[in-house]
Amino acid sequence: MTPDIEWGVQEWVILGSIVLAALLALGWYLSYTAVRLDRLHHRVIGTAAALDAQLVRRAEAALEVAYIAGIDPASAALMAASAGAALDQAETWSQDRLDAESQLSEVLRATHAPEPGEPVEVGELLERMRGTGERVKLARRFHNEAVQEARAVRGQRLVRFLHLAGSAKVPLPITFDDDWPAAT
Amino acid sequence: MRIGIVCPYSFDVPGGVQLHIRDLAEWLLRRGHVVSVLAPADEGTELPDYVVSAGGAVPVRFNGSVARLSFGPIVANRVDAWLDDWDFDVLHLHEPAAPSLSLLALWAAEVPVVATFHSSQSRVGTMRAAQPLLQPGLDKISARIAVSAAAHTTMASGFGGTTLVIPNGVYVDRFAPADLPPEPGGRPRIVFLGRFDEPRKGLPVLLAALPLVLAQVPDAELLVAGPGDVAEVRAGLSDQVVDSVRFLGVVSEEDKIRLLAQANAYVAPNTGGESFGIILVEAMSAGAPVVASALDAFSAVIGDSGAGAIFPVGDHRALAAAIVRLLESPQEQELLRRAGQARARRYDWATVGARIEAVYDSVAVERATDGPLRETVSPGGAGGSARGGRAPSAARTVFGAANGHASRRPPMPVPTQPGLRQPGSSSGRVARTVRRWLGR
Repeated sequence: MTPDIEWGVQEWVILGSIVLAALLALGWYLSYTAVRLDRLHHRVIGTAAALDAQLVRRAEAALEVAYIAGIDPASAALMAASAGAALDQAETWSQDRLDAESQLSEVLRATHAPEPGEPVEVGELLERMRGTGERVKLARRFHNEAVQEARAVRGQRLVRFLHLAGSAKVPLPITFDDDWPAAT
Repeated sequence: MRIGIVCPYSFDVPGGVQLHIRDLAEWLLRRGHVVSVLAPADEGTELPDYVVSAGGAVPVRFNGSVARLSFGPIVANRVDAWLDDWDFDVLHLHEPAAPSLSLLALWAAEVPVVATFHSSQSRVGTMRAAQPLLQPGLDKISARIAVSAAAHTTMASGFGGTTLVIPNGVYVDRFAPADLPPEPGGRPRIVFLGRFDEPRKGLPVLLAALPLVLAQVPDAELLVAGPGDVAEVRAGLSDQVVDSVRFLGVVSEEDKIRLLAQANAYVAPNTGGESFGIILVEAMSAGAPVVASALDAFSAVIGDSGAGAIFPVGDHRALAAAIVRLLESPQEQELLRRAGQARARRYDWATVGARIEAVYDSVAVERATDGPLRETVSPGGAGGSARGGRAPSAARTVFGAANGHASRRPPMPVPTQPGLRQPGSSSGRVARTVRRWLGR
């Protein structure tokens, strides 16, 4: 039962405007998604830079503690060595760097034992080092959240099919052992 | 660090969000940060000097209550100008989904954004209709904070994304009176604070429990402090209880603290709509033994620490039993008093503020403070002069489109293989010396 439609000018105009509206809607959606992707990628870059900065700060704080906090020489040597190794790798996100950072976390877990009756200055140093550890944990978490959101959008079929992400590389979550200090 | 805080609700009216922002800003200022708060405020209102007014607010029915919000193209321009003038390292927006300043700032933001969600009762349905409009902004938020697990749930169902739960802060020491007269030597006192003619604050539950309490402890009295229509409530009271209830009206902050400190039982019988039990923390800080209904927000504050007695929401018999047990046993009162004061420490600004500061640090990338970039960003020198005090008025060109796409920051390293890092991060001189010495 197809209704008989006389394809006059009016009908063609209506059909044309429907198609046009659909195309406009599609176009809007595509540009909306592309802009959204761009924004998510920017966020990923920002959170990675913040994590990088916090990691460097943590390693520097560990070096400081190793050299002037007056902890036992074996712990100090261990701490300084692994902090130095982490700083050496600080220019990239290579696996070597992640390993170095994991190792630093491990060393901090093992060596960090604030002695009673330490001078105020040392207490402050240790406190600052602990603060940097907490910030590393937060920064890595925020980064991986951003990565996850960006990847979720990139995973949409239309986005993959039309290459809406353009030349932006697929962001990767940053994974290493940052479990120091223990959550309170 | 240069921190911009945006408050969506009018600063002339007191409210939980506004108080939180005031305390936070003052704490950050004391920590030596540069802080500016942007908030709606009517002309001629006395504002603290760290607050910049975005103009008057319009009362709008939103999210189940009347909120005083600020929006429109002129306000949007002011937000842009504020951002340009201050050139923040991090932007902290409160209630970013409320159609007000926070949303506008989120749109214009080009620096890392931290957002705090306060509300636990946003109607997810209404927000869902606006979701495609909100999404591009929400995507920019680097760190989400919820003030309670309840607010967290609302947001998780509404906007997705994981969240840190950082509670609201209280200056605990301000609530701990120095000269604490433990026993005023009078009748056992039950204290209720709040807008008592609002049913969700739960005064009716407490009044229903009162006869049962008086049957056991005949000389107990109930003190009700807060705004509301006294005559109406009094008319509904039976002769039996009317003599045991005293209405104090609106009390000053000092009187409130004294009232709490001398209470034998502070009762929070709220029946709903509380996102965070700030009032419980205040009562605990002042040393009042707390009896609270089992709302999620209240249970979260009291926790399993034994810092308060909890009764089922709306159950006046259970409430009466809890009050009687407390009034009859001074040891129990002392126990709750101690446990409460210990628990309140967790909500002290020293703790809460440090956690928020850690979040700022972990999203913001330290920038060179004297780079030439900053000068090109705020031409005309206005940015420099504005740094110490208020930003100048909004009569300036708006940079960038509303979607905040005009990039003014240097290209940052790609996460897959970042190269550059800003040199000279702020850790101490010693580390740098050691590094130089080691040839790194």
